[in-house]
Amino acid sequence: MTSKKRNQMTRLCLRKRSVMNVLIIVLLAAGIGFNASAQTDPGLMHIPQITDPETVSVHLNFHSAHVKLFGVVPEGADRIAVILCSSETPETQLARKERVGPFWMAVKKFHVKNIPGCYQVATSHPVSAFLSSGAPDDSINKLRYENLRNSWDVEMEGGEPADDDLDVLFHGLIQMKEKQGLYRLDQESIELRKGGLFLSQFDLPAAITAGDYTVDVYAFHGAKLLGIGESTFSVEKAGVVGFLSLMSKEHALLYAILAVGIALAVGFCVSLVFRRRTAH
Amino acid sequence: MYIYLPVAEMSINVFLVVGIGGIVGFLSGLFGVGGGFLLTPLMMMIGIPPAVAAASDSNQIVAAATSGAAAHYKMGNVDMKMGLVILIGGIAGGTVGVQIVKTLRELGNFDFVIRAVYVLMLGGVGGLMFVESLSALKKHVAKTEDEGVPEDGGTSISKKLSSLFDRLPFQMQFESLGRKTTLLFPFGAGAAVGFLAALMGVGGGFIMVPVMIYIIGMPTVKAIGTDLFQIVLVSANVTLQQAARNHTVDIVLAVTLFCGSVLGAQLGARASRFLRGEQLRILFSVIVLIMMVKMLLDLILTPENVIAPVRVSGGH
Repeated sequence: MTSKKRNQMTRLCLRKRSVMNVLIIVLLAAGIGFNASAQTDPGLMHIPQITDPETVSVHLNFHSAHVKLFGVVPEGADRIAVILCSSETPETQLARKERVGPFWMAVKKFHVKNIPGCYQVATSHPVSAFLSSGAPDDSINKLRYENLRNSWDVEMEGGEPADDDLDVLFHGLIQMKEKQGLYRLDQESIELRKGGLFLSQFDLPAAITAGDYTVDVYAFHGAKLLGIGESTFSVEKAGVVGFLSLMSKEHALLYAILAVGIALAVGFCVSLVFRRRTAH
Repeated sequence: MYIYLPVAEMSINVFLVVGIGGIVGFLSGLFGVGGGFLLTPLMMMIGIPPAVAAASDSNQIVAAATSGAAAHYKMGNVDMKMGLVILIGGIAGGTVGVQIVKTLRELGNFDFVIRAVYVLMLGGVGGLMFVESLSALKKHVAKTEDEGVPEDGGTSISKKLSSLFDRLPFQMQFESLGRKTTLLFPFGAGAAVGFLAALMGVGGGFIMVPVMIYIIGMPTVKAIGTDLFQIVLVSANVTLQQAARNHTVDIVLAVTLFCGSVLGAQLGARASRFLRGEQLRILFSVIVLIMMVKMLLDLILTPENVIAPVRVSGGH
């Protein structure tokens, strides 16, 4: 690559970066008014932040979505942690499989409540650095999945209780959620820029459910918590997906008739088109 | 290209679903037997929850069987009376099956039961077909003549059974048989197949057609036409009940599958002209046995995660 080309590319990168910074400032200026509710402790600074988009629509072609978070941390902050959490915690029914003879089968059933459907953590430094900093427990504990065990509620149904049930259940649940992309620990993924600007991105997987989501930001200087911020966004089923999903639950009989009607109509049309037997 | 399934609440590659529908449709067209019992396990393999896979497969079967039944009806291959007796049995079996599915799912053992029943069915059908087609192939090689359909066994069985059925109550004249027989047997066979349709999302053609030919003694073409007719109604009943009670029918999944299976069935029917009957059957039985081994391993091998979701109303 010639030095001329290299200079051109460098200028292009710098221009892109300055455009990004201007965009963040403009967005923050527009968004500060909407996010003034986070400050609860008078000693803490409020972190202005914006999520983009504010509504994620799940259409027929939905596979995944990205939600960006822009913000400005208080002066002096050198590390930051962002936690995305679904507001709704629907009851989940899980089964524990155990070996019965030669087969693996579900032998115990658990009703798990008060555990978020989605929980993603992004940080500017390794989580161990936050944990060893001596920062207040209630803010840094949220960086670990283990924290969720303080509030979860488990009821067992069927089978003999065992000492390791809760541990196996919790780790199995986390493994399941991580595999679905709903739980995620993304260490050192946030970069603090000049002026305290930061940009974080969350990947919402195909398994994301409709509902409201909260994004909490914690800014530290070493062990000292300097500021907190909170913003929200929502995920909504839209178009055909929203219509069919709602209909299948709220108007189940109508949905059932529609399902059979479509199948009969398609079958007749195909028989007319091919005029021959297709296998079933 | 991905498609979001509103009831399964998951996104899946549309070409994968159409491809699976296409492969099963191709095999159906090629072998002239139902593909429903292959489709549900294939859907489970790509991550669709078993209950949604089975219920949506029933919906897909309604469409596929309708196209076949309409064509057979025009050709006069549908014995309506026999079909209706089987149908009444099918509705009774299907209704019981849907209730059992609901109870099993609440207990959290549905996945195990559906997989275990599948292993038995696939193993039984695949094994019998393999042995029968292998002996037919050997006979063919020995005789070096074409066409050696082993119908003797079936005919002798049906003759023995018809004398038994003649002594049972509820006799009725059937057009396709040209004689009277008891209602009880077609009713019982319909109930058994309806139950399987609810449990596994299969049309039941792969059991019903041999039963009608070898045991009831119907001509092959009329057995296929009548079977398709009753499958439309049994599967429609199962779809209605699964959607209304269990909320597990995904219309988007069923329609996407059907797009593939229609095209596959046409290609398969054309490809079948290049192979002899016993060659087709032995190939089919090998595919069925491979599926059986895969599902058996899933039950026996240690799972990656011993915690699994219990699905209550389709999706999370």
